[in-house]
Amino acid sequence: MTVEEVVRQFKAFLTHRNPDAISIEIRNVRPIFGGASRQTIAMELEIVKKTTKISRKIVLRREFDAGIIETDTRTEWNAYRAFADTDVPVPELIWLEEDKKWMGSPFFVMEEVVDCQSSILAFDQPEFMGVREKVGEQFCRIMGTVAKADPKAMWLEDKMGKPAMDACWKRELDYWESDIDKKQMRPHPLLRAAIRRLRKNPPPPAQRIVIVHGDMRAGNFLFNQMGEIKAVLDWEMMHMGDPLEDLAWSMNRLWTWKEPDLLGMMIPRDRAVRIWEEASGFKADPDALFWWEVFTSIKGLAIWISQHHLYSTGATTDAINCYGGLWAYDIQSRILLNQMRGDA
Amino acid sequence: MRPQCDHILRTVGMVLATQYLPMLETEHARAELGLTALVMGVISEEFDRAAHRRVEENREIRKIFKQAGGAVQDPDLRKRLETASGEIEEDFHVSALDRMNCDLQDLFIQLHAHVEILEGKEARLLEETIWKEIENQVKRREFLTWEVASQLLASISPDEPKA
Repeated sequence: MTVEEVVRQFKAFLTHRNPDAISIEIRNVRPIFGGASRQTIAMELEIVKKTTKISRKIVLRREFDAGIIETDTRTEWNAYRAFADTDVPVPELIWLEEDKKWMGSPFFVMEEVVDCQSSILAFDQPEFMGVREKVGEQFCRIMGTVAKADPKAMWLEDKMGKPAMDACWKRELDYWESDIDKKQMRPHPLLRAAIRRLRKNPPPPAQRIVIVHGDMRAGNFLFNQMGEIKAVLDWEMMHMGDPLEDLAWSMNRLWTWKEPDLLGMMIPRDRAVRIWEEASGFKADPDALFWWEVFTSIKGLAIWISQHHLYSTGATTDAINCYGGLWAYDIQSRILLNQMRGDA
Repeated sequence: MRPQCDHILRTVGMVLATQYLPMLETEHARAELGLTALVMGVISEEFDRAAHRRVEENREIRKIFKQAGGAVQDPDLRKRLETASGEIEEDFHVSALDRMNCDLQDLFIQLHAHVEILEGKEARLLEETIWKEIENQVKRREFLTWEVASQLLASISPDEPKA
């Protein structure tokens, strides 16, 4: 669906939801680049009614017709709702619409978090250079806070499958291996060797079953020039699992290719782990963490293979999928090779 | 052919990035075109090496198949390794080389999994040979132009706030 079609259908949705509106205006429409799993569009909305006028800057997220990851919008919605008004900053939710009649797939709308940045490349720019360690420390604390959260108290436990403590690793590895089986367009000897090795050498059971964001990393949160993280985004892969999974994913060197000893181009890896341990209350056993780090290379490659598949089969023409299938695959393969051959 | 296709791809990518990208108004359009230009530069590298790396890789895998014969205990796998190691490329279109490469890689994975569960020095030596080839496979697929192309793109189109 093109941006113009989305905006037109969204206006029809708003008209339906606001039968008493005198006028509904959508302005300053800005598709947000980079998301490969959701079509994301920022815009300004003005709804005039007889006695009120509502003006909001919003972000609409719609499931792609062909996305790289099979996730549903409600999962993301549930995450934002559960973490609203907690120490984990998330955008304010506005609407969820799961009826496909409006846009062909579910979508939700949230408040735009303004005057913020998500790209880690910003840390190369003068106005952000001074705050990158502050952002990194804050990010690790937030990640630890997510791990510490009680899924039952947040009404999330019954919404997601809860694996046994010794089965988290297998469930995740099975899922991503199956995804590779479905989407690979050529054999991948390195990847298959890594999967076999992880199966032969499983990690210890999870210390507790926790909420796993699933894509917790640099690039998926918004921060300002003061170095304050204002929102953690992209919760569509949220699930229950091992607390080390998010930590390991955030440490994937793909997010910090230019400075591999840092976490997400922000802070040294060992300091990041210490902050996470303090905030979460969990221990990051080095061997267990390494198992999960290798796993994140496998999961990453599965995602880049999926991007390659989408682009190669013509399901999408978005350059990000071509780029990811080439660049990310190349870099992630080098990272996995280092992990398998003992250089990492 | 003059100019060569890799040169054409690089040039078109550069023109898109330096002449047309700055004319675009939205961040989304600039990012989309910028990445497209970047990809064109990068695949120019692939264009030049596409046939070479497949031929080289197929040859190296077949060498390992020949070497592995004696160590392999599964008769069916041994037979398939023998057959594959005797094949040669006759069609040098990249698509044909690619199909052959995929067939060999499938068998290579099966051999690796088989060797991993074998015991003894011969098996470990063979496993190490397989790993050396996997290292080379990653190296053959590396894109050396990423760094230069990415820096060029970043200097033309600095990131703007996401949302």
